Amino acid sequence: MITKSLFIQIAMIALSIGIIITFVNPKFSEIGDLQDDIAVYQAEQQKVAGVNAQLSSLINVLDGVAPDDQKRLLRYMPDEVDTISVVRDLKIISDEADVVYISAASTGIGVPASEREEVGRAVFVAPRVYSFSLSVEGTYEQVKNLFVLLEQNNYPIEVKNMSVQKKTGGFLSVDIDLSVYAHESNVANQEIVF
Amino acid sequence: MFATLLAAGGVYLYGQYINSQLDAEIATLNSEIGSFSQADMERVTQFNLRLVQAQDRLDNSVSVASVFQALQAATIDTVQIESLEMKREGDDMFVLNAIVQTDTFDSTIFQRGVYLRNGTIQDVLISEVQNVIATESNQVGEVTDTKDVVSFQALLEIPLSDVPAVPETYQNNQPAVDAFGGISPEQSEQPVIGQPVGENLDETEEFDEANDDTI
Repeated sequence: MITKSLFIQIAMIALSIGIIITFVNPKFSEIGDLQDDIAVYQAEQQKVAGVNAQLSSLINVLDGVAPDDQKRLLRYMPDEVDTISVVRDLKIISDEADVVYISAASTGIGVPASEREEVGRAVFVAPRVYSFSLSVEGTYEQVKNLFVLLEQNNYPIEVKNMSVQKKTGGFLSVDIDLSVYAHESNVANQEIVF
Repeated sequence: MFATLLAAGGVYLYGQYINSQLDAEIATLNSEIGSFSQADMERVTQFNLRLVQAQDRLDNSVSVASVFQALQAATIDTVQIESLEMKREGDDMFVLNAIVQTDTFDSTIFQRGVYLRNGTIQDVLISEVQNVIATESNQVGEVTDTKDVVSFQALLEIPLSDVPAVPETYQNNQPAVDAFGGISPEQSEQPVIGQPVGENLDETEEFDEANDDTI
């Protein structure tokens, strides 16, 4: 009787050890892995939630920009440059500066500027460049006035090249190469660093 | 044995619970990813890019009038600039190539010294110095006067950072313009200068105004 009971007890212990080895222990490992996975998913979820929150706050900032400011920005860096309008503006500015307007023309349309790397920022996408030429004649003061007025324009008109020749009677003949810019929406390489 | 069976049952149930928790986390993550708006992202990215591009041009905007001022300040009375070529080298500098006439070699040497001492002009290269007979002619082309002059070529470099455009000074418009006696305040308020590039932005307004006029 004693021998039989001892045998049963040993058998139950062996069975218990078997259950622990074949079921409990692997299940513990599996649970450990699942807990690791849960931690990873939670971390990723927090990252995505952070991005969504950041995006939401940026949208709020964007919506908070006054319409007038948005309009000014669109004028300063438009999606497209109307070359006829620019030539017209050059004529008007020349008239305002009291110089003798000879000619103005568009000489290059929408040439994408080369990209360049900037420190601490993603690859900078330069705006598209529209080239124009302007020829005028006037006195030194009138020519200076012309440049002052070009600088005051509400979209950038940059002087790239300029040639001034002296003419008779104190007049100067001025040929100017100008650049006007438009927004280049190449988002493929653009990255916002949060 | 009973303890082992209980432990096994507990482990099994806990495993099921952890599994369901993982499923819930996956569902939450998918929902969070789903709430991300690509359109909003593109809107922000485009606005950011436009701002960066505008800022870049604004940071590199320069005053050509200041270049003239600098050149004027660095030119002595006995010197006459016959022709001037100016080239903008990227966003770094202006390179000026001037053909200059003076009355004597002494004036040329003095002028070179003034250029070299000038704070705005960085690099100065004087070349092709020659003593020539300059002629002045009238409208018809007849020679009216001749004089002995010294001619030379001056290559000057002006960094863009030395001649920045300062938009703040244009806010109260008058000083910059009035200095040259050009435009009256009334004129400067006219919406003439600085009409938007691409009037297409304001086409609707103009169209409306045109219609109003017609009616």
